[in-house]
Formats: sequence, C-alpha cells, structure tokens
Amino acid sequence: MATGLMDGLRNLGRQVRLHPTIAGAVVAIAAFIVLALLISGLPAAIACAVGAAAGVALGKLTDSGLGDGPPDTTRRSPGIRRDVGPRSAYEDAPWTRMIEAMPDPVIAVDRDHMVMHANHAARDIFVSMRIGAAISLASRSPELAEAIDHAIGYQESRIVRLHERMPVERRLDATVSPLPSDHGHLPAIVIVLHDVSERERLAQMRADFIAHASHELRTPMAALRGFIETLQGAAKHDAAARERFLGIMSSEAQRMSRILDDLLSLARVEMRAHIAPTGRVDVNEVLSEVVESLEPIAAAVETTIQVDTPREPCFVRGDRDEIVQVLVNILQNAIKYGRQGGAVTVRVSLTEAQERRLRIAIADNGPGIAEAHLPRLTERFYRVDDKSSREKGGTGLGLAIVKHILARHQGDLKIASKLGVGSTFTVELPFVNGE
Amino acid sequence: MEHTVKSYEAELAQLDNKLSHMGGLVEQLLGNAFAALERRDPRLASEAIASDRAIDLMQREIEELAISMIARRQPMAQDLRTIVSTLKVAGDLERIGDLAKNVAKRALAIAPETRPQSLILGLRHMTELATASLKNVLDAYMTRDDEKALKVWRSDTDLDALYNSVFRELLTYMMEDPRNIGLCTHLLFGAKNIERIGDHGKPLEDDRPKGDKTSVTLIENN
Ligand SMILES: Nc1ncnc2c1ncn2[C@@H]1O[C@H](COP(=O)(O)OP(=O)(O)OP(=O)(O)O)[C@@H](O)[C@H]1O
Ligand SMILES: [Mg+2]
Repeated sequence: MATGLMDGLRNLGRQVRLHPTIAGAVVAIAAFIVLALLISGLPAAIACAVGAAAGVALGKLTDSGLGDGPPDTTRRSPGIRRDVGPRSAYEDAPWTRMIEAMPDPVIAVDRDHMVMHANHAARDIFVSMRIGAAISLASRSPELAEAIDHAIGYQESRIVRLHERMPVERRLDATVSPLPSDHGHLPAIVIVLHDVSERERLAQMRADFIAHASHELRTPMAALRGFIETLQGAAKHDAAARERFLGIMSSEAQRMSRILDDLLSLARVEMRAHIAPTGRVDVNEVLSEVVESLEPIAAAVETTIQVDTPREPCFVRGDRDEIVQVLVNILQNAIKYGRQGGAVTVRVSLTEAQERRLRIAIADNGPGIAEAHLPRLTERFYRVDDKSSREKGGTGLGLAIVKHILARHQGDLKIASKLGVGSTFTVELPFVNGE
Repeated sequence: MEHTVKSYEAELAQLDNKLSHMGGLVEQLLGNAFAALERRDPRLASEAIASDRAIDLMQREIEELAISMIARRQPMAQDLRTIVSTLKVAGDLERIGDLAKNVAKRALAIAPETRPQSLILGLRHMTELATASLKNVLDAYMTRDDEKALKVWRSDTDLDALYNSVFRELLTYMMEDPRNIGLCTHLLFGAKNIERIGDHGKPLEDDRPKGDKTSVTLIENN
C-alpha cells in the first residue's frame, strides 16, 4: 500500500510537469484526499515528505529543462540550503583553517543555528551533519539548542552534556561559547566538544558488572555451597558421592569463571564502542585459523566444517582480535547447538551493492531456533533453553559480544532459522580493497 | 501578533526548526523514561513526566503556525504538502511523547522494587529499537531522505516480534514465581507502550513469500 501511495504522489508530480496551470490545485486537493484516506501514523507523514521531496526533484527538472512555469528558486527541504554544497562556503577563511587544525571536534554556527563549518573530528562524530544546514541535523539535544540561544542572547558560554544514542552510544561535553564580533561572515557561536563516553561508561559498567556478576554468579555459587555442605556432612564418608559431587563442583566453578571472562570481554568491547577500528583484516586468513582451532570440538561431536571462500584475500576494516571473536562465537554455537554428526558450512562472498560489503554466512543443520527467540538472541544472558544450553556450557553472552563488536565495525548480523532444518548466521562487514 | 512581515521562506524554516526541537524533546523523554525504569530512579521519572508538557506546548505552537501559514499564504502543491505533513509528524510525536511518559509512570511505580535486573533486558532491547527508529524517522524527515524513511518502515517488524517475545518471557516469570507478578505487570504495560511507539511507523506488508517457514532477525548498525 505504501509504495502505491508514493507512486501516486510521484505521478502527481509528473502531472505538474504536463499541466502547469492546473497541476498545483490538483496536487493540493490530492494531498488532502490522501491524508483523509490514511489513518494515523508516520507513514502518511513520511509519504508526504517523500512525495514533497520527489516533487522538488521533479520541479527542478522542469525548471532547468523545459522552462515551463515560473522558475522554482525557493528552498523546500528544511535546514538544507541548496546554494551551499556539502563543503563549507567559508573553506578558505583563516578561522576555518584554524578550526580544522584543532584536534577536538569543533563546530561553528551562525545566529540562526546554521553550521558554518565543522572540523574533521566533528564530522566524524556527527555523520548526519551538513555544512550550511541547521545544527539540529547533527544533534537535536534540547539543551544544546538552549545553550546556543543563551550564548547569543547573553554573550555567556555554557557547558552541556550531549547523549547521542546512534549509531553508537556516546556522551559529549559541549562548550558553547559566543564570539564577540557581529560580522556576518564570522561565526556567532563556537562549540567545542569533548568526548566523555569512556569516563561515563566506566562508571556505568562498574554498576552493570556488579549487578550482572552478582546475579549470574549467585546460582552456581549456591550450588557450590550446597555441595560443600553435603560433603562436610551427610556424604562425608561416601566415596562415590564425593567423586560425583566434585565433578559437578568443578564444572560449576568453570562456568563461573567463564561468566566472568565473558563479562570482562563484553566490558572491553563496550568500552571501545565509540572508537572506530582502523586495522585491515583478511577474513580468509582469520577464518582458516579459527576453523583450525575449532576442529577438535567439532570432531568430538562428529561435525564437519566446510569453508567456501573466494580465492583472493578478502579484507575488511577491523580489529583482528575482535573479528576472530565474532567468528569463534558464531562457529562455536553452530557446532554446539547444531546436531551431533552435523555439517557446518561457512560461505564468504561480496555483496553487489554500491558500497561493497563482505558477507560471511555460517550455517548449521541443527534443530533450529523458534521464531519467538530470534530477535532476543543478542541480549546479554539470553538463552533459548536455559537447561540444555547451560549443560552445553553457555552463558548467553556470546552473541551479545558479537553484536557489540559488529556495532563498532558498522557491521550487521542477520539470523535466519527454520525449525528442524537449521540456522544461518550472516555477518556483513564493510569491505576494503586489498593493496 | 507578529508585527514584522516574515518571508515565506523564513516561516517554512521556522516550522521545521520547531518540529526538530519537538523531536529532540521526544527523544530525550524516551531516553530518560527508560533510564528511569532501568535504574529505578523516581527523580528522573518525575522529570521525564514533567517534560511532556513542553512537548504538548511545542505541538500547539506548530499547529498554530501551520494553520496561520495555510490561511495567510494559501500555499500550493509541495509547500502545502510540507506544511500538512509537518502537522502530521507533530501529532505523531505528541503521541510518542505520551507513550514515553507512560513508561516513566511505570518507572515511578516500580521504583521501590528490588527484583533482579535481568527482567528488564528485553525492554532495554525494545527501547533501543524504538529509539533508533524514532531517530531515523526524524533524520529522514529533516533531510527528506526517502530511502532512509523506507528502511525505517521495514525495520519496525522487528519491534513487533520483540514485543511478542518479551510478553511471553514476562508471563513465564510471573508463573515461575508469584513474587514477580507485580513488577512484571508494570513491565508488560511498559513494553506495550514501547511497542506502540513503533506503531507510529507501521511496516510495509511482509514481502516474504507465503509458506516459507524461515524466521529471520536482523541487527543493523549502518
Ligand atoms: N546455531 C544455533 N542453533 C541453535 N541455537 C543457537 C544457535 N546459536 C545460538 N543458539 C541459541 O542462542 C543462545 C545464545 O547464544 P550465545 O552464543 O549468546 O550464548 P551461549 O552460547 O549460551 O553462551 P556463550 O557463547 O557465552 O558460551 C544459545 O544459548 C542457544 O540457545
Ligand atoms: Mg555461544
């Protein structure tokens, strides 16, 4: 339905071109009808916005090409000044070059909250920011807008805390300072940003860690205590029971240390979430190492691992250790939760899309995962079947770690599964050229 | 009211600025509402609840400006569409603000609870998705990026699936241990509110072929 709606709006746009005199009225009426037909919800609004955007594009065509109707010089898209490209209009001004040279993220705005220039560090953080457009495209923080108004109105600077949640969670202290001069071509406000994510995260993580560790360790700890008491009392002289209990105790203790390891590993990944990886990793090479290291546990359950990769090296932008961790976690799951004597396949390929991505699909032919669980698997401590996966040594942290690593790498994870047939975990990472 | 005659251009830009400001307020409210729920922080919850007032005010301002623009300028074609869709988005944002406020109210109710934190992980995941799609919708709207808007539309199926799963999980907790019932009931209502936030960007028809029993989940970061 939605696509139909948009096509409709586009067609209306086409009519504008053919019959400029009546088209305006037609579109206006149609817009109302469309709105009236639609029940509530953003789709209508988006469709209108999209329709409007399409209209703008078509309008431009008309003006430049055919010249029928008055030239459309007005700007319709919000916050974007068409006359200013993605690059700064003040590119060659001394102040611009000064800002550019600063290591901290710096944004210069005018009295109307329009970004006049932003240096490299700032552009890296705010990917949706446009030079020449409103700063709200970068951050809609109400405090930031208020601080800018305050700085302009009272010539006073202020520090506000920004909490950006996307694409990675990040906290920044923004110092918003007015510039005394009132020249049109100098910025009215300079915003200097300081990334405090790490400091904040450390505090948060300490709290999280204590909460999770104490909660998750309570159960195995209670079990250990119970066995110790039994061994000290009732089973003191029962050699067979002692043997059995010690075995269970040992595996509970192992589980506890695995939980701690995984929690630490997750904490480390989270800590670096806002720092993009800079290394270059050959996935083929990493894969063969990972598969080799997992052969023994696969052999133990008579499972075969088959790898199918392009012959040439496949590079992605990333941190080698973390890519290893991703592949180990998913492959280990495929072996562990696949079936005894199963077949695990790993297929590496390149996507056809413009921005090429490397796709790694890891499939097993195990029992599969019920639909209800699929969207939850990457939550920390989430296990499909608590009992059986606990027996298999699971802590429920593996895929949570995978998710965090991929977020840092701008990667995606897709999980597809069919009960009784198997599961496929597909990772996509930004591809980089080999030289 | 206004003595200076503003240019039409400037009014359109003003409308957008107001909408963007309103969006920022809603994003903040949603973030604070969930943080209050997760940290059992009654002060933050009260703050979040109070901030809904500012959102309502902003919606009224947008409505007034938009209606006066339509009346005075009698805009045609794209401009009319833009103004009317701004009204729509503002209406949706107001609803989302209300839903987020309800989450904050649940946070107030469960503040004294000491049940394990793990019960809330599903809601955290839901909030992450809702936050992401709200941000994407607003970004797409503000930049008139139709491709991004479509992507948001599709990704909302995930929030539905997540809600169903969280619902079942919370029911299981309630059956396992009656002491969980009070808390889980509040969390269920909280989850319902978050799910409805996603409804304000209802997905396209499921485009998977019928009869294919493969279930899919997608975690995207780009
Ligand atoms: N290939 C698979 N087939 C079936 N179920 C799977 C598969 N991969 C994961 N799962 C399910 O998803 C759950 C979560 O996996 P995850 O890797 O996060 O944790 P885990 O394996 O239990 O613990 P850890 O990896 O920390 O040792 C598992 O407990 C298992 O139930
Ligand atoms: Mg695992």
